[in-house]
Order: sequence, then structure tokens, then C-alpha cells
Amino acid sequence: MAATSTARARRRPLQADTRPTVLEVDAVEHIYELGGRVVPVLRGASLAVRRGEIVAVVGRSGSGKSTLLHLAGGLAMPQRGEVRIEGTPLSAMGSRNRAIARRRQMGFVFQAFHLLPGLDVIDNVSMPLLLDGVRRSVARAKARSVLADVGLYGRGDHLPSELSGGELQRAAIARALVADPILVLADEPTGNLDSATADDVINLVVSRVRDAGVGMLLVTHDSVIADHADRVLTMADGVLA
Amino acid sequence: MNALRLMHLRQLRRQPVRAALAILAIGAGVTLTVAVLVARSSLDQSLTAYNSEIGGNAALRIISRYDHGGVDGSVLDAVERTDGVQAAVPLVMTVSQVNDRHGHDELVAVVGADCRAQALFGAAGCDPNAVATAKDTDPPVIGSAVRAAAGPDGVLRTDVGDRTLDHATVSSDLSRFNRGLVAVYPLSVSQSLFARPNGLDAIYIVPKPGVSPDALKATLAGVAGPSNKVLDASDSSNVVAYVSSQLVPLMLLVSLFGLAVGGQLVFNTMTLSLEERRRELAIESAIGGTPRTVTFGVLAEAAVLGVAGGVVGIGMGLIAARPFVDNLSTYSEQAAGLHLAVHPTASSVIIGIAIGLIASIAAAIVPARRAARLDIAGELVDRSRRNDASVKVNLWRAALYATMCTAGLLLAWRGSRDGGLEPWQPPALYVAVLVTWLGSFRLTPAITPFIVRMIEKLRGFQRGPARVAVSNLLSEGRRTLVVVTAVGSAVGVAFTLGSVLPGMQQGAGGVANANSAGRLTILTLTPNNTGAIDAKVAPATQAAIAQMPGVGRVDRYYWASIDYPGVGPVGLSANEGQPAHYTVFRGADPDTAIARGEVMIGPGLARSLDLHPGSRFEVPGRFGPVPMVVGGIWDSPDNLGRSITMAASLRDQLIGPRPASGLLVTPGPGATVEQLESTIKDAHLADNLKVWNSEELAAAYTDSYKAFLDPFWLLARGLLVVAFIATTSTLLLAAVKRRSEHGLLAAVGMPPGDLGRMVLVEAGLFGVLGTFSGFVGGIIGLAGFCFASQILTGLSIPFSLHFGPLFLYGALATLCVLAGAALPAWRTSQLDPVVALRYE
Repeated sequence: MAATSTARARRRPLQADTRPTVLEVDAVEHIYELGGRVVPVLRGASLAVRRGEIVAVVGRSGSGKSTLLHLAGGLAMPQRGEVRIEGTPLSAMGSRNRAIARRRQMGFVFQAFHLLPGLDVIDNVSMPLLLDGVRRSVARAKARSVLADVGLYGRGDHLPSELSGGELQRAAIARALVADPILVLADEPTGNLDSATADDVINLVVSRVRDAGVGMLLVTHDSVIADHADRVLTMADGVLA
Repeated sequence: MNALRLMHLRQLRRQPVRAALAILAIGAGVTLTVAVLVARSSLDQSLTAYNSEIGGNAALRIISRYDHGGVDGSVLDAVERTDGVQAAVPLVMTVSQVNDRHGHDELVAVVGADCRAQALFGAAGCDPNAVATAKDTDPPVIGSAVRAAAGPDGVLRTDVGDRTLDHATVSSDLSRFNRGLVAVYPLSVSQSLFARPNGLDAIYIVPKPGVSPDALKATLAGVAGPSNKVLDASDSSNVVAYVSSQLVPLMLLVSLFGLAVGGQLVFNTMTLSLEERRRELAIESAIGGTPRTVTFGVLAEAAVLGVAGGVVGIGMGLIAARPFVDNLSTYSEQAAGLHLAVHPTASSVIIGIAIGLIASIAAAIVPARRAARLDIAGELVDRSRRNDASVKVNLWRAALYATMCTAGLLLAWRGSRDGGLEPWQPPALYVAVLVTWLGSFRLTPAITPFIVRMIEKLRGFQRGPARVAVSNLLSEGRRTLVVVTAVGSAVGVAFTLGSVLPGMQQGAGGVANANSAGRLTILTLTPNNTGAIDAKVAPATQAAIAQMPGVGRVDRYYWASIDYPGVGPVGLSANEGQPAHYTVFRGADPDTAIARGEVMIGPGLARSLDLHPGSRFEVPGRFGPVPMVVGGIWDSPDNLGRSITMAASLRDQLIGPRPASGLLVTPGPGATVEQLESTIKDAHLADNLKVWNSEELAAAYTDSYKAFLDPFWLLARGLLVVAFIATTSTLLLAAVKRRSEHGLLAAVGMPPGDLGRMVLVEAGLFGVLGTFSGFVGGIIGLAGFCFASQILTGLSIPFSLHFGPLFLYGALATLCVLAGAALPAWRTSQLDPVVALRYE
């Protein structure tokens, strides 16, 4: 797997990396059909993320960053190329198994938080575990613990509408980590936050990810945010460089 | 399970209005079905209770395939001699009228029995001598309800004239039979009063101890002969079996139509609800919810709504059952004097819940599958990428459905020609009508976008709230079509019924003319479905009429019914003198055929037995099998086209003497029908005597057919309620879904009042479009019904359009949808734009 990359920031020494690869994106191509018009979004993008590694993808709006992240998470399937999680191609899984992979092996952090408005924070955070059949008392205990880690101790009983933007994103980070995934996929996690809150949130997610030793693919248009990554890839016209 | 509860079932609590509307929608659909099931169970329960009460200790009973005392007295002797029979109890069982002398008639059951009936109920001090010496003028023993109906100076009608009830003994024991509407005579008296010489209606049998009823039943079948049937004591009789076999399925069909519209509403509610929650479902999928999780969650929601809707439907169904039970009771009273009460059963309750559950889940399957196939990524980042729910204007689709309707109608016309006697015709007709109706259901939605486009071009819809409203109809095409279908169903059914009735009037006019053109018809009862009532024109009255000035001749006509093996109820009619003149499809004209000793048969019987002119067939008669030859097949509507018309002499050979059902009086030389009518009426021969010319007879036929349409009118009114619920639910859901859009309109300057008006304009357009849809669907439905009527009902109904019900129900339906839109309009006008814009 040879990811085409330009390292803008490297915090690790140049040496043979023996950590296992958790995500491989191999020459994926993807198009959208909008109003009868075919729009190519990705034209052979490739990358790899290893356990404990944070990889950022930067680029302008519409360059295909979010699409890459969605393909990496199995939310959509590429027309060509392959995405592998711990070596298993997503294309070999049915939609059910891709969903199971998302709940057990991945965690998502979205720009718009995407918490379920009718559930309190603790139910939102415990949802991946509940979907996996974990008993509710066990899931809630785990969720409380993770919420405490992200600084939301005592806020579990609140509805999303009762939290600030920064708190919502912390809750989303807790949800992404609650099932002990091997990979976190973050799509503009600070895009809806002011700069001070954004700084707190990115520091939080990076520290939690590093503490947990999981891989992370971070999509952002903000170079300051991208600087927290081990490697930064640039997306332009559907190609990673 | 926890995820299911949190993600889906909690939605029901979060959105109580949506849940309540969905429950109401499915409840409305279940209501009619439960009402019909309760009506059916009421019939069964009332009948079983009546038969069990009459039967007492008896295990078996013998009844005739014929009505009106068809068991010959000789059968009783043979039964009494049969091994294993401890007691054979002969009974006369008929229905007559009690009149209070103030114009009110009540149908009552009449029983004739002798002291042998003590074998059924135990010793009651019966004096055989008193019974043997009873006279025809002695009053009966009556139930308390008969006394109440008769009043102080009331009478009981019989076939030989009225009998006073002044000194009738009221028995408290009889009050438990048929709600006390029963009169009992000594057996011989009842045979005399109700024209049953040596004829019985039933023989109840008490087996000897240790004798198996089943074994005895088999033995008695041979003893009773082919013209009689051996039944368990509580089994239903022929006439009531006719009610349940003909009317209940028809009512069930009506109720299923209501259920289909209710199911469509649930589909609509689930679809809109899931549209509104697309993002939440996408989040569920993004964090690991499998397609099965999503599908199962949506179906679980639907199941809860379905069960709740079923419970609501059962409650409403018990209330709505009353008119259905009354409708059935009319027939059972006429057939057996049996008055029905509402009797819900556990099975109708369980079936109601099951139907609610199944309909709700079935309606949710497509929305659930759509939810499971959601474009997760697209939904999470860009809602505009989602599939638009708008329905495109598609000329080809409209043309396809129009062609389907046209082809269906052409095939229906071909399938119904000449009585539909060819074997391929009835199935072709059914397929054609089905294709036509399915096509019309699809045609009106297909042409609705064209109409909306035309409305869009009108000057009044170019600006302001009306402009937004009309564009909403196009952009939310699926929602538009569902409400238009709901409104159109109510209007279309009303339009069809409103046009069927005048068509029936024309058909009835044809029947009346065929029977009595140039003659007077004289009856004591209404002309349809009253054959079993023993209150015919008394012989003394007949003699008096024959002696009147201006009377040329008096012809009697007779009606009987047989439960024909393998066919069911078949009408038998015989006329003295000139027979009726219906259109002859095949064979000889009735005068020639009947003069040759042959019979005319209706198309329904010809189809059932595959009979043609010249065919020979055998009818099991009271005194043995009677061979018959088909002279012709004609358009007689009697018994749904299953009838045999014969000479009076052949009728005597078949079933023996009977009271005349009515008289046909021909004016003599120099007299006119009008003069003769006045003469007979002025003579006041009997207070219940009906003297009708052919126009009046046609009107009487029409009145009797109206009762046939009652369940359909109930359906039309029920559909109005469904249209109201459909409008309220869809507009409320749309208001929630379009909250940010409404917030934006408010933010850019649309006043709150205009926001509300916009919703009301949409509702008004639903009414207009629904009325148009009902007009198109109604025309097609009516044409299909007219073609099918001859085969389905026996009556040929000409196609004619009457627009009164269309406009009336169109206006009512529009008022309903405007009323249904009031709450959504008010809620929209109260919108806080800041909150609404933050909603997304």
C-alpha cells in the first residue's frame, strides 16, 4: 500500500513503521450524478492510516474530502478502488456487516455533531453499544465513564438542545470512542465552533485518540487544525497529494 | 432491543400528534371491518340463540329445502317410526306482522306446536284435547314484546286475514324467545292460518338415550328425502344462510375498501414521518445501525401504531356496527322474524387487532425499506441531494392508465353482453372490472399533476400565499396524491352511488313494466324480499276484488324459494295468466315456453347449472323429483338472476298449494287502470292492502333497492372522516417537515396570517382536486358497476350520470379538508422564525 502523500508535519522520526494498518484506501474513484450531470469527485485517491496515527486531509470545499471520509467509513461505496479495514475489504462485506464494522471498529465525529435530538446525552453516547446488544446498564456505565473523560461529567441527563456547541462536539467525541474503536473518522470536527472552543475540542479529540492508541482520519479545511496530525495530505480535484 | 426502544418506540412519545393521527387513520380503516365482523357475529349469535331456545332438548332437526312449510306431514310419520328417535316434534315456524291499528307493523316470529313440544321443554301442563279442539279464531299465546307492539287493539296478520290479539295470553316464558317478539298457536291452527295444509317447517328430534346424533342424522337423511335436510338443532336455516352468504361478503368488500384507504393513510403517515427523520436514521446507520435494525425499528413502530389503531378501531367498530346489524336485521326479520341485537365476540376483537397490526405493518414495509436504503453520506452532509418526493408530470403514464381503463371497460361490456351466458364471460367481466378500477385508481393520480399545472397558470395563483401553496402541491407530489386519493374516494363513491340509484330506478321501472304494464298489482307487503312473510292477501279480499265493477280478470302470482343443491337459494315463480316479459337472451319467448310446459330461467341459474334452451334438469320437489325443460333464458332479476318461472300447474306439482304472493288485476272492457285503482282503494278492503300501478310498483321496488345501498352510503360517510384525518395528518406532518422553509418565508417577509392562509389554500386545492378525481373515478366506477350489475345483482342498470351527489360530497369533502387544515394552519401561523430557522 503506497499512499501518495506530502508530509507537512511529522512528529515521528523517519523509520520503518511497524504499527498495523487499520485503514487502507486504495485508488478509489467516485462520481456523483446531480441533475443528470456526472460529477467526478475522487479520481484514484489512496492513503493508509496505522494504529495510533493521525492523518489529516486538507483541501478546499468540494475537493472530495468528505466523500473520501464517507467511503473510508463505508457510508458509501466507491465505483472503483478498494477500502480495507484491518485488511478486510469493505466491498466484501454486505451492508449489514459494514454497519457492524462501523459500530465496533470505527467512530465518527461530524461537523454538525449529529446527536439524536430526542435522546439525552448518555443515551446518545451509549447508542453504538446498545446497537451491538450490550445491556443498557453496562452501556450507560461505559458512556458515563467516557463522558467524564471528555469533560462532560454530570451532563449525561441533558438533551442535546441544552448543550453548547463545544459540549455537543465533546459528546460526539465520546460517542465515537465509547465502543473502543480502532479508527476514528472526523469530518471538520471544529467547523461549527469558535476558535477558542475549536482549539479545546481538537486538543481533546487528539489526546483521547492518542491515549487510546487508535488511528484517526481527520478531514478539515483548517491548516491549524491539520497541524495536530502526524501526516497531512492535500486533496485537490479528487486526487490526494 | 434497547436501541430499538430508544431510536424508534420513543419517537411515538416524542411525536404524540403524529402517533395519534396514525392510530386514528388505522383505527378508521379497521372500524368498518370490525363493524361488519360484529354484524356477522350478531347474526350468528342471535340465530344460534333462537334455534337453541326453540330446539330445547332436541339434537337434530329436519327442515325443507323449500320455504313455507315445505316438510310434508308424511315425513313426520316416517321419522317417528325411525329407530333411535325418542321424540319427533312437528313445528310450524313462520314470520308475520303485528299491527297496532295505527299504521305501525312489527315483524314477529310465529310458532305452531302441539303437546309433543313438551319433549323439548319438559312438561308444561299441555292439554291435548284443548289443542285438538282449538279454533282458527282463538288468540295465540304471545311474548310481552308482541303485546307492546300490538297495543290494546292490535292484530296479528295471517294468510287468511287479521286476527285480534285482544284476549291473547302473554307468557313470560315466551319473552326470552326473540326478545319476546313471538306468537304461538296450536299446530293445526297455525297450518290453517298460514296456509300450510299438511305442511311443516321443522321437525325437531330428540334421540333415544345412548343413540349417537351423528348416526341418527345419517339414518334420517334417507328418511327425509332429497327435498329436506337434516341439521343439528342449532344450525342456521336456508334464508338466514342466504343473508350471511350474500350480504355479509358484500359488506366485507365495502369494509376492505375502507381498510385499503386507511392503510394508504398509514403508508402516508409513515412515509412523511420517516422523511422528517431522515437525518436521524442516517445517524443511526452511521454509528452502526444495520439496514435490518432500521427496517425492524420502523416496522416495530408501525406494529405499535397498528395494535393501538386496532383497539381504537374496535371501539369505533362497535358503535358503527349498529347500522350494519340493523341492515342485516331487516333481512333476517323478513326471512324468519328474527330480530338481531349487537353481539360482539372475542374473535371479532382479536381479528380487529390483527387487521390493524397487519395493515399497519404492510403499509410500513415500503417506507421501512426506503429508510434502510437511505443515502447515509448524502443525508449527513447535504440534504438537498436526497430524492425529491415530487411526482413528475408524465404524459405516457397518464395515457397508459387511460388506455387500461378504456380497454377494461370494453372488455367489461363484451363480458356482460347478452346476459353473460358464455362460460368465458363472467371471469372476463370480473377481470375487466378489476383492471378498470385499478386503472382508475392510478389514472386520477397520474392526471393530477396536469391539473395542478393548469391551476398554477391561473391569475389568482401567481403571487402571495396561493403561489407558494400551489408550488407545494407540485413539490410534495406524494403527499398531494395521498390526500387527493382520500378525498376522491369519498366523492367518487358518493357520485357513483348517486348515479346508481337513479339507474336502479330505471331498472326497477323495467321490472315493474315487465310484470304489470296495463295492470294493477295488489299486495299486502312490499314487493322485494318479503316472500317469507305470511301476511298475504286474504282469500276473502281476493274474492271481493274479483267481484268489483271494472275488473276484467284477476291473476294470482306465486313466489317460493328452494335451497337448490349445489347452487343455493333459487327463486320459483308462477303466474296465472300472462307471465312477465323480460328481455329474452336465448330460447323461446315466455308465453310460448310456458304454454309448452317448459320453464324460463334467469341467467344466474343458467350459468350455475350450465343450462341452455332445451336443457333438461330435475328439481327436488315436496312430493318427489320434478323434471323440467328450459324454454328460454331471460333477464329476470329475481334472486340475483337465479330463478325459475313456470306455469302454476307445474308449481302445484312441485310444492303443492300456496297462498298467492299478490294479485295482478286487469281492467275489464271500458275501464282504465286509473279508474280501477280508485275503485279498489275506495273500497277499503284491508288496511294493509297496497294497490299499485306500474309506476308506483317501480317506486316500491326502488325503495327496497335503496336498503341494498345502505352499507355503501355508510362507506361514503366513513370515507369523509378518513379524508378529514388524512388532511390533518399530512398537513401537520408537512408543517413539521417544512418548518425551516416556513421560517425562511417568515424571515423574508411573509406575515403570519399569510403563512396560515397558504396552508388553507393548499387544503382548498386538495378539495378541488379530490372532487375532480372523484368525478373521473366515479364515471369509470359507475360504468364498471353497470356492466357488472346484471351478473352480480341480477338487475340490469342503465348508465346515467347524476351530478347532485358529486357537488354535494365535493363541497362536504372540501369543508372536511378545510376543517382538517385549520389546526395545521394555525400552528404554521404561530411559527417563531428564529426557532424554525435553527431547527435544521
